[in-house]
Amino acid sequence: MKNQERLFLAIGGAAPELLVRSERRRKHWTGYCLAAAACLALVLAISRLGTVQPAISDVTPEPSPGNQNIVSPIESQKPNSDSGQFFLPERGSEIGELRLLSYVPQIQGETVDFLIYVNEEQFAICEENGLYSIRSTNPLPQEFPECGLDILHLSGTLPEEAREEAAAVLEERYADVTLEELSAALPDCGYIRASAGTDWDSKQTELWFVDDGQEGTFILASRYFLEAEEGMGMRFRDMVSSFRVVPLNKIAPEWMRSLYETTDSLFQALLSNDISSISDMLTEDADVDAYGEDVWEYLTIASVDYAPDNDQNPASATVSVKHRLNLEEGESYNYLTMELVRREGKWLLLWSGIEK
Amino acid sequence: MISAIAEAQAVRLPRTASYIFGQYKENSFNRERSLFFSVYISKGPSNKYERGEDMEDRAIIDMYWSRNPEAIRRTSEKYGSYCRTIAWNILPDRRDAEECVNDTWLNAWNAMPDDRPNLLAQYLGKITRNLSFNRWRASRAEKRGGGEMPLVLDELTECISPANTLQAVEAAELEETVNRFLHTLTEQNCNIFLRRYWFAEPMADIANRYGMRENTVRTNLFRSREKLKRYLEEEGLL
Repeated sequence: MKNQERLFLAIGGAAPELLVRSERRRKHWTGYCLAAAACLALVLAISRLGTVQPAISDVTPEPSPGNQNIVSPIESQKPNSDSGQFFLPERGSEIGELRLLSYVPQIQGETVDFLIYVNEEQFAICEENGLYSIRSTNPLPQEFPECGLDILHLSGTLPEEAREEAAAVLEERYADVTLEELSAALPDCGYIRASAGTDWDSKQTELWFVDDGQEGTFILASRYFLEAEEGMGMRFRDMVSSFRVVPLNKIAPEWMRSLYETTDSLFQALLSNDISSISDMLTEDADVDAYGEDVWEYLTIASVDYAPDNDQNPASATVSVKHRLNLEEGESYNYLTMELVRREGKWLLLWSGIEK
Repeated sequence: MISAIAEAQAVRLPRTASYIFGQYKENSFNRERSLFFSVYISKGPSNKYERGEDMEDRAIIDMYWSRNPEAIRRTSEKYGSYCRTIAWNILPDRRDAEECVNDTWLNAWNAMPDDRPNLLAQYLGKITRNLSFNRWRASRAEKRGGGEMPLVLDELTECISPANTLQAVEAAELEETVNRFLHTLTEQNCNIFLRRYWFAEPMADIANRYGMRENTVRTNLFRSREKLKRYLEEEGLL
């Protein structure tokens, strides 16, 4: 018998009370805590980076008529509460150009925000009257149906209520509407998929209804055509997977904020094959491995997950970056796994590798 | 109305004038707590889990002891689904899985009396698990593979590096060592580890069970496997 089989059988002898305990279904709030850390990190990053270049420069989509609210990070530090203007604080890589943005839009007067990973080399985001639109920086010719991901916040409307309304409307306009999602992009949220048909250019719409924790709803709506399902559709799903609700009134501990900032720099450097830029973030005996080439421009990030070894004062943490290279349609996810240790208050990379 | 979302254009929906802050609901993630990674236990299962057994299980076990064939029917009715899930996780062929479940009842019949388990579900589950695993090994020899088992075993291989081999210890000693290791894990980490390597549950199902992301489950398992490897090394088994 092979060793792993012996081990599998040995695990079978686990105490029955441990098995009983594992049957209970539980909620885990790590994602929210770390989203809060992201928010805090964002505020600190803006105050520190005085010369950050605007992320949306050459790739800004054509402004639509009416209000257009794409502002630079510098301007975003000047909230204008009188006019009710929305602003977009941004945070990105500290390695050369801004290449990945974690958008944490701050809507004045509200205490809930969101965070989403958008690869700036492939997509641009703009906001208009509270609607956040994500569009490809290489749009298809006009004869193709438009593709995009939109995010909207409805305060005072619960997710189920919003979903019911949307389903009723979509059923009138689309040939096929389903409420079941084959593989959940976001856990515990409502979903609708509407299809206008089976032609290659038939419009497809997917909606996710996310509870904001304050009796409101975030609605994420992706739109593409059938032929683009495994291309653009998958990229939008990846972005949706990285979506997090961020409660603004949450203060994260120093170690959490520091972990977030460090890993954000690390994974961008590793996936860009720019190891020299993170030399001060490695332990002396670091074993660093990724793709060995710069794959940054191709990939979409689906989620970044953190597992510290304890809640109060962690000494180590494992971080996993779920991503897709998008070199082929329907490609499966890869995971960049990083093992970090905390020494004298600073997180350092001990090990990294790619898992399938 | 959300009608505008159906249109392939920018949406302008009215925002509510007043923002509802309100009272935080019970179990809200904004509730004050001392530990950021505390796991909130749902109101969840009935007391039988906490007591370890319920009256009905005791009655069923008594039927086995008194050789009452009704015991098998009651067992199948109550735990058929539970054992079937375990078998399906291990065996890709549903017919094989069903046979293992049926064999579980026969094994239980033969084992009781003598055995009087405290936790009937887990007792039966272990029988099913062992039968299913043996069937899986046999089917692998016949080149009929698939399901979660190849992945589960691949992952467990990481606990035994190529440079080491698991020492030829008695199965009982290895079992005891693993059990001690499980008690060193936090409740959440232990739960996830068991769901994956005892129940052979797919990662997506584990993520759903605990309201986590699949990626988090994967990361958590990676850490636990590393810890197990270190533990086995420290115990001199590697």
